Amino acid sequence: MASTLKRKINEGLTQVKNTASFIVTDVTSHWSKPGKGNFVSYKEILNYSIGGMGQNMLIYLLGFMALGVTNTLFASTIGIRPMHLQNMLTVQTILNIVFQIIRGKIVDNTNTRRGRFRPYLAIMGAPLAIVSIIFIFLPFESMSYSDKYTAVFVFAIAISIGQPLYQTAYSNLGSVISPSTAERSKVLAISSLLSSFAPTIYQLFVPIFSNLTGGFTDIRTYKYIVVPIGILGVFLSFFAFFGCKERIVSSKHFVKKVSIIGGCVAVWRNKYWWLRTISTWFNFLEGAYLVLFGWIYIYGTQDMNAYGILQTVLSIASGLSMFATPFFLKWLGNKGILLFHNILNIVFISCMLACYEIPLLYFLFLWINTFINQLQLVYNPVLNAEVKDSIQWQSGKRVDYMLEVAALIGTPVTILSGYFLPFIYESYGLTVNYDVLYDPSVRNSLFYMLCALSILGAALNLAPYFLYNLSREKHSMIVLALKYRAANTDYRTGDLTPHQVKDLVESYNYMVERRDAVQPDIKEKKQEMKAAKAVYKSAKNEYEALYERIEKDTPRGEEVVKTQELLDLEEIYHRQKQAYRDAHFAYKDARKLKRDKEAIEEFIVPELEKWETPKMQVRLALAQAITAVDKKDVVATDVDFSAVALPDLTDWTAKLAARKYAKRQAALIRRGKIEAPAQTENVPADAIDADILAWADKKADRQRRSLQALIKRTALRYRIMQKLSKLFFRNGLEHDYEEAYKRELEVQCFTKEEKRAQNKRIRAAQFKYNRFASAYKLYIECEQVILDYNDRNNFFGHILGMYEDSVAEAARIDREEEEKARAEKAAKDAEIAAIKLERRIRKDAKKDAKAHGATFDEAYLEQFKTDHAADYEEPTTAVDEIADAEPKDSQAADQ
Amino acid sequence: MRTKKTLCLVITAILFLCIGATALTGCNTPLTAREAYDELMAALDLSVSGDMYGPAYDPETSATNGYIFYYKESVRTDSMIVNTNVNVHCDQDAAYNLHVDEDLMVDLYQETWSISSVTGGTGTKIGDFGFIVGPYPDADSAEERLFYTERPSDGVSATAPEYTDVTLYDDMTAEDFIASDFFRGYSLSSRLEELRNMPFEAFVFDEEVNGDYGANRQINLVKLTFGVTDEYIADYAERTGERSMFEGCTYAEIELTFGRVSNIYVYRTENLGGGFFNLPQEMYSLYISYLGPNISFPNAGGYTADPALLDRTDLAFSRATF
Repeated sequence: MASTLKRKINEGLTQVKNTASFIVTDVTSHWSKPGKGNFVSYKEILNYSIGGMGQNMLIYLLGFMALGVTNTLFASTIGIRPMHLQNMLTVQTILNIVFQIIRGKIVDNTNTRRGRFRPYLAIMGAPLAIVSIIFIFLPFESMSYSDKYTAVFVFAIAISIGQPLYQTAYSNLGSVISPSTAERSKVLAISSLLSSFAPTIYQLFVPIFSNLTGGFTDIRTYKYIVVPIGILGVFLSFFAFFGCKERIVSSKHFVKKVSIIGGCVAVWRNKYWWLRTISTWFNFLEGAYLVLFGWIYIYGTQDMNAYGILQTVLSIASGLSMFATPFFLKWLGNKGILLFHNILNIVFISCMLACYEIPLLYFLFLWINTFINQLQLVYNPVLNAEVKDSIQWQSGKRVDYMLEVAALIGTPVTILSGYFLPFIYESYGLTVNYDVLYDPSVRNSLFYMLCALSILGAALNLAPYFLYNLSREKHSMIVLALKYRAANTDYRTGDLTPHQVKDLVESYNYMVERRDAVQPDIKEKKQEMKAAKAVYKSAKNEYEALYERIEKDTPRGEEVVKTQELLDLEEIYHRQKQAYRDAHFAYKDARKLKRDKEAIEEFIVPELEKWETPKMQVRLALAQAITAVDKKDVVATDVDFSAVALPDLTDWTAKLAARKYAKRQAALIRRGKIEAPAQTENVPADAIDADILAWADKKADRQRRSLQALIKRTALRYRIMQKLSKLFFRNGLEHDYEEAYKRELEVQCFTKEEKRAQNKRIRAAQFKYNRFASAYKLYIECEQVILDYNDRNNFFGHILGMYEDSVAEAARIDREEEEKARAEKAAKDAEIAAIKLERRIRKDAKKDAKAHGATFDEAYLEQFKTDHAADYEEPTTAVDEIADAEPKDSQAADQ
Repeated sequence: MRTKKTLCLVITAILFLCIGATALTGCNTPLTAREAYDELMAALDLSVSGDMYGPAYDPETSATNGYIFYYKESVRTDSMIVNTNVNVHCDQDAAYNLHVDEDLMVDLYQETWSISSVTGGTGTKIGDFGFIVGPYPDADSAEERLFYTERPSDGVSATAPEYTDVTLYDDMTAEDFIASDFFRGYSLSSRLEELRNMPFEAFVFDEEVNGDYGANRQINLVKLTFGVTDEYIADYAERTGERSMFEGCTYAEIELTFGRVSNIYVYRTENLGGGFFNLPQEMYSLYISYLGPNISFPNAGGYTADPALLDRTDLAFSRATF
């Protein structure tokens, strides 16, 4: 036993040593030149990381220039009223909408020798720091409140205009530092690890040093501690500017832009987006407790050393949380993690409320709550991506950046809710003089109220998520529906890959299998599981009781001898355990099957039956009527929309009624009120309840009205299209503007002049295309409807039959790629082995020269190599090993 | 059904916000002139009840032992700004409760700035003085003493040979210092004395006279905005031979929190120019908290021996006499 442990430890140590040696060799050998297949050297990664530290440090200084009632510089030190700060923040929020657009335009049109993002790291850092420094060194002692107010407003707005340019430049640089996704992730992982040293250090030492300057309520802390950090940050961020490169790869595919209004409407129609957005509207309330930690140490204990240390400890919670999130997400599912996070928020903020007078206990709960809160850093992007897929399924539009724009709908709510906390501050005596917080009677009353409001906020934050039901099963069905759509189009364009076919057909088969599977009774399965558990427990107890009896009778030091009876019981125990596991799995699978069936019903069935719906039939008829007119003749030709007939809704209504009836029957069966009917499909109309029939008729009426409105709207849009095309294209359409724009985008340039000229041409072509796209929007949409309709049978007519060939082709491609990757890895290993050997020879040659009293130089080294060639024979390289192993692997892959 | 649920939720959320906003608006209760005056007088009494110079101070019952308060005062005239900070407080324990009989400390600092006009944004410092009185940092001598350091105010560097700093007093305890006539002039009671003696008739709360006037209660905050009659100002000058703190003011604001006076502002608005950011000019402001920050003492060696400490604005400087 001990020897095994020792062997394992030794093996582990060797592995660690080898890994460390590999890392050191890899770093030193690719310090200034990237390895094979890579683009970024380690020197560049270090430069990027140091730049990150710098960015972090300057942002720390700029953070004190951000408007908000919790800002210790503006509020506690300078003495601006919370309500006035909130007023300024409102103005800034409104102005920011304009500045956001301007900034977007500036960045989109930046194309310098130094790249697109790097220039902002260089040119924005120093001005931002200078503006902040000027502000901090203003003579506030002799300034009136009016002057202070003006100064805060002007400087804070100035900073808020420029700061995003600087802040996003660094993260954008990270996204274009390498064209390889894998390498980019590696660079970002290393750099975030290194650059996080900066905040760890300053968060620890700033509070400690602030003891010498009067703490965070004294302007000297900002003058003599925070400002130097910011200045150092400006210098460090130049490392990223000078030491990194942007490696942008232009997309070969032309992507049609989604219009702002169209994108926003698509987002606003999505229920999941609304639930998540509404939940965030209450963040202002939930976050009320966040200021308390700082206030406890600044005004309460006034112990800046402890504050610094605890802040550092607090930052560990975020890191740990990021590691833990994937496990929580897998364990709890989407809705589960949302509920888990928000319920625990309520619990831990309640704990904080109970113990805010005991700083360390308060900190403990704050730490746990921070850990819980930071889960969202990882799960939010995951859930957002799912919501985006859901929006795409619903609207057919891919919205990536539009989510943020759509969220502007909440701006009035954000502005109004922003006034709530300042109101509470003022009501508790915190008007202009933050020094009142030194008084425990004032401080504690406010703390109590803020904690209570945070609990209320967390509860309100939680409420929408009870309606959030975008489960993993639903998301996979959404993805399947999207794949189905994409495959239909790709088949037409010839872009369909064997992997795509394999993946889609397998997903489809799984869906069919789940759809056709018989739904077992979940209650029954639960009962079975409980019964199996009871049997298993009893077998376990019996076995353990007998084992203990025998163990008791066995003399000390001797092994327990298992009797036949014990062995029999053991066998029963294991059998029952397995039976319980199976029953548990069967219960879980029955539940999952139910969710799968619901998801299929919600997303796949509508997708497959899309063209049978009255709405799509009318849209198709309209599209056919419009595209019957040539694009060039649109201005002169009117379309008779009254000829577009409404489809017969009788079948649709009957189907609707039958579905509703089936649902009602299922609910009654579930409640045990009726037994399962013999006939569940094609129920005759006279068997359906009258109220359901009436409901279906009402729905049909509504549908009819909606279709009439669609025809009217299209007629109006057609007239607008005629007017716009007359306005924009007086001489008619000259050529295909989309093709022309695509052609310009694909032109390659080699010199600066060429690039400049080409950019001009692209802009001109883009302008024309945008005009065309806005005038002929309806026509383009109609063309798309026709294309989609024509593609509707590609999957069932062609793609399904391609499965066998695609599987074989995909396996061949995979094998080739694996071989390529193996060869690359082997080449890298061989390169490192050669470097190591060279170093060893050099070291030995140096020793040899020293032993013989000779001077070591290159000539001596060469001679040494020649003399000792036999001693340093090339070891069997990894390439050879791989080559040996290859046939086996290939066979395995074939199998 | 689901869409309806979502819709219900959206409507509920919006309703909640509207109701919340309405409820908060309802938290502002207007007060009549008499109610406002009574609230003010009660708050003034409570504010000075902890100050040993206050009229109702009772050493037997007072929780503050007659010492604890912290205020910042700023007086602005056409040519000068005088800022005064006074922090008299005792020690706190780990759970930041007061220990009124231990480590009594006093920090008094006053600085004077010269300005070109009442709206002048920046000024030049023309003088300052201050004291820190507290327990002597040397462990061998636990007596509480007064340190008063004098420094030439002509800008001589602390490291220059002609630089002098002199400890004038070294045998006064913090209690003695507080009991001195000099300190009496800086007590909280002295700052609130004029207000305490103002009759109801001196206040104008009537909104019809000025739209800004009025008084309201907002949970724990009572905000009084008022004007002062010319008769009172003339009478005050005649009675005391001094200018009233309200002389020349357009309106004044007093904030009472938790039944005590917390902030006083006296504003002047006429003839101050226009402009987007032009808020009323503060002629006088007094911010009171009833417990101030801890006063940090150097680890060893006192104050006079360490020139670096002279850069601290809260240390004792300059030409005070008392």
